[in-house]
Amino acid sequence: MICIVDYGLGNLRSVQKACESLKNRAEIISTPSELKKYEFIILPGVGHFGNAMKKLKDKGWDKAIVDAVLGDQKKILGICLGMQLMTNSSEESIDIEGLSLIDAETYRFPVSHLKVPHMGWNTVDFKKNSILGDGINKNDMYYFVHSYFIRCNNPNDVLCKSTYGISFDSAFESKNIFGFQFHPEKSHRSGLNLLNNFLNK
Amino acid sequence: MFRPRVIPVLLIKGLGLVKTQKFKNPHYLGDPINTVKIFNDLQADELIILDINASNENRTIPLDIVMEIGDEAFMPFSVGGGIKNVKDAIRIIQSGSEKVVISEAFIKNPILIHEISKELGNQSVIVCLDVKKTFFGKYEVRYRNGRMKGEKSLMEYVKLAENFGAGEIMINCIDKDGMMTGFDLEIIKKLNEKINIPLIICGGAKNNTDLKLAYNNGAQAIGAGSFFVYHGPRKGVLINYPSRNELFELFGE
Repeated sequence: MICIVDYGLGNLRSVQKACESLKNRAEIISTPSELKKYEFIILPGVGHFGNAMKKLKDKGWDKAIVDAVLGDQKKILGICLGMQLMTNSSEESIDIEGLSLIDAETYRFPVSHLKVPHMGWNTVDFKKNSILGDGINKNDMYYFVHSYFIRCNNPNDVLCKSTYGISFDSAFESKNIFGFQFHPEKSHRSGLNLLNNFLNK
Repeated sequence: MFRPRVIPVLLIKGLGLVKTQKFKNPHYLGDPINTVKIFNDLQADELIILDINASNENRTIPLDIVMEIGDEAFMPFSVGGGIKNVKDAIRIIQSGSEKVVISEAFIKNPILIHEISKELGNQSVIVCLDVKKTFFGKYEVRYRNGRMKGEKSLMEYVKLAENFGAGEIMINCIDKDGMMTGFDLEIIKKLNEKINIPLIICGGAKNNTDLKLAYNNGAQAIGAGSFFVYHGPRKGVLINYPSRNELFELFGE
C-alpha cells in the first residue's frame, strides 16, 4: 500500500485522488513511525526548500525516510519540491542539507528572457529504458511549476530531461528511488499513465 | 517543448455558472461542477474559477464548491472571490485549489500579497487586475465588477503585485469581456516588458489564432470564457476546448 507523507506542505488530496483513480489505496500519514506499514512512499511538496527540510526534521521524518528507503528498500517517489528534498542541497537554502537519497543538487533557474517560475506544460525526454516509460508518447505533456531545478551528478540516474531555456533533469530513477519535477497528479492522462507505471508495474 | 497555458475562466454567481459581457448581463450557462467535469474530460490545461458576487456579499467562494471542483479536476486550478486575508487563502488551498486569485483585497491592501505568498509560496498567488481603457486610451484599474476605480496607475499596481511576491499577474480587460473581438495586444506587449513573472491575459478570445497572437505578443498564459462555452453565431451553450494535439501544433512552430 501507498502512503503520502504529510509534513504540512502541499496539496495532498490531489495526489491521493490520483492514486485512487488508478485503483490504489493511498493513505495520508502524519507520523514517521507509520512508514513501516507501507511499500510505497510518496513525498509531495510545494514551497520553500529550507522551510520544508525544517518541517521534516522537526518531526523526525528525515531519518525515518532515509531508513525506510536505504535500509528497508521501500520505493519512494518525490514530486516537485519533494523531489528536490531528496537531493544533497539547494540554492534556495544554501546552508541546509537535503535528504541525499540521490546524488544530485538543486539549482536556481538562471536569469533570462524566460519568466520564472517555469509554469506550464512541457514534454519530457526519456534518457534510459525504464518500465516508467511504458506506453508513454514523446509528445505527452506534464504540468510543471518550479523556480529551481535539479541536476544529477551521476548521468545514469537521469530518467528524463526537459528544456526551459536550459536543459534540466525532470525525472530521476535509481533502483527504488524516483523523483518527478512535474506534477503527475495534475497532468491529466499522461500524468496518470506515468504514475500508474510507478505504482503498478 | 514548453507551451503556454490555455485557461478556461469560469464565473460563478450563486450556484450557477454564468458568462458576462463587459462585466454585465450575466447569462446563465449551467452547473459549474458539471462544466468542470467536461473540461477535465477535454483535458484543459488549467482552470480559473471566480465567484463574481463574493466580494459584494462580503464572503469567500464556498469551500464545498472548491472541494467538489478538486474532486473532478486532474489539472491545476485557481479560485478567486472575496479572499481578504491569509486565513481565507489557506482554507481555499486546503480545500484542493493550487492557487488563489486576489483582486479587490489587493487594491485595498497590497501587502496582503506578501503575507499570502510567504505562507503559501509565490506560485500559489495570482493577482487579478480588472482593467478598463478610457476614452483617451489610458488604462484604469477597477474593482467591484468594474464599478469602483483604483487610485494607482496600472503600472504601479503591477509592480506592487510583483514586488510583494505574486506568482502571476492576470489582466482581465473589461471592455473585451465576452465580446469575442480578439485580445488587447497592446496591453500584453506593454506589461510583458515590465514584469518578470508570468502574465495571464483574459478578455476577447474568439479562436485559436487569438490564443497564438496573445502568446506571440508576450502572454505566458491565455484565459478565455465565451470562446470555450459558446458555439456558433447564435451563441448556443456548448463547452469546448482545443485538443492537446491542436495546442501542441498551434504553439509548436
